[in-house]
Amino acid sequence: MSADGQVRGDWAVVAATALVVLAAWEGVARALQVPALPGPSAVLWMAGWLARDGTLFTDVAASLGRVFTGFTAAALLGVSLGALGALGGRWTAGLRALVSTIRPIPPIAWIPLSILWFGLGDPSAWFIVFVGAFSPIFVQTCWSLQRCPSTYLELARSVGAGPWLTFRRVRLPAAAPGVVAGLRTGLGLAWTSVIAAELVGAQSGLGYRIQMHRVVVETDGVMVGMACIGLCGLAMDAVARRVERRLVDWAP
Amino acid sequence: MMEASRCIDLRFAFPGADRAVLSGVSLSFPAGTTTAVMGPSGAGKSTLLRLLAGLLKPDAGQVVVPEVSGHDQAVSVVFQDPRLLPWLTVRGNLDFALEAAGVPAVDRRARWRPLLEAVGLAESEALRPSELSGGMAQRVGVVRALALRPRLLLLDEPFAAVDPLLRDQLQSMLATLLRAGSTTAVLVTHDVREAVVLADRVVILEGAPSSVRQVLAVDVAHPRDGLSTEVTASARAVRAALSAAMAR
Repeated sequence: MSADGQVRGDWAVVAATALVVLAAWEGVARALQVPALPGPSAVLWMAGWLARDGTLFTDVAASLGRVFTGFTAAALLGVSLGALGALGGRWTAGLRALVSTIRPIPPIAWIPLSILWFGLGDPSAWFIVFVGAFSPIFVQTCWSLQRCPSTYLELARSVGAGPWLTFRRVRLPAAAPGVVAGLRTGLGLAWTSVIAAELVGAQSGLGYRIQMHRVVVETDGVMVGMACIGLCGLAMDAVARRVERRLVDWAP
Repeated sequence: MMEASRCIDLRFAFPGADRAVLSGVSLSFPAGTTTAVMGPSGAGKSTLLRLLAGLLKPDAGQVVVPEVSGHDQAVSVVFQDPRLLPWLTVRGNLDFALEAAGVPAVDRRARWRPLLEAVGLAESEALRPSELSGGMAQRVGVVRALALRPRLLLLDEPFAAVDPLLRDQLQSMLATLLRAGSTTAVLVTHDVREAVVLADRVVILEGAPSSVRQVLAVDVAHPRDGLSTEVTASARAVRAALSAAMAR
């Protein structure tokens, strides 16, 4: 089968699976008739209502705005401190140890502290997004810069390249695929972190909206929020993949 | 007459090793000549090349390369693998080496373009390394080293990874380039015929630690045909000397 045929075949399988799952879900929902399990048709109706109302777009925009702010800060600081950690040798061992220590703490565990420090609102959510995205970006940048292939470095030395030229033209591009992969992972974690932050510490956004629907037992509203989170995450990853392919198109 | 490059009483041991790899290695590389370095595996041939390139620091002794003028390079290396930076095009790789050597941007192209044409890659300057065959990539490696206009060109088994037919072509190409530029070169190789086709003399390293056991002159007129009776006779003499060294 050709590659095109393979892709078409895959899509057909995906579509068929989705249809089967949706039909089964609808069937179970109609059979049970409980508020906790609305069918896909009810969820779709709610999505349409929230879209016409404008709430859905306002919430998506609020969540994306928080991700943008927190992720930008994490990317800037993660890449620069990661580079410092990689190139600083033993002088930055403390920095690497500090990040290794805070890395296993999940972003959600920072929420109480962020509310105490920043109160309820955007700064608290920005901080949670930052915490979620920073570690993978730092670690990948540091790791990628430290593991520059020795053959490239030997080549740079053999042609007489100084430390700055070697960093700029050899170490940095060689590390780029790893750094970009770290940024992609960071973006994914930023998105999941913002939802966690909004569930408890915000007055808008998809996480906040899910929580509000839960309080009034509008399960279809909760599911609309969840579906939006999934679709937005998918879209962000697709954009990140395109950017990755453009930035490091030489990487295998 | 241009001064010869030399190494004087070189000694080198890898950190933590019980025994030195090389000891008391003294050689002179007269300007415009090619010296092939041969010997059994582990005799320190590539280590000698790295010491000459300044990529390793000798425990004792020194390497003396005559002063260079302008932006020429004292030493440049053709590695066994082409070592092209995969994120740069052929042009980018060549420019990078010249940038490192301090050659102004406006002069770089003039340094590598004639060489690239000479090796038959005139149309390939915009290609990425992933788009080149092994032989093409190795030719770019040779052009990069020659564009630096080194006092001493070091070749570390440059054609070991290419197929035999292509190897013959690349050897002829290299012989032409070396003679055209009166380049002083040191070639490490396991291929006796390659050594005889390219070199003016063959140095045999042997022992533990290794030192120079024999220096054989290759007295065959250029251009050399790898299948000629003169080259075959010379190759036989070198092979006999190598066999004797390995038997010790």
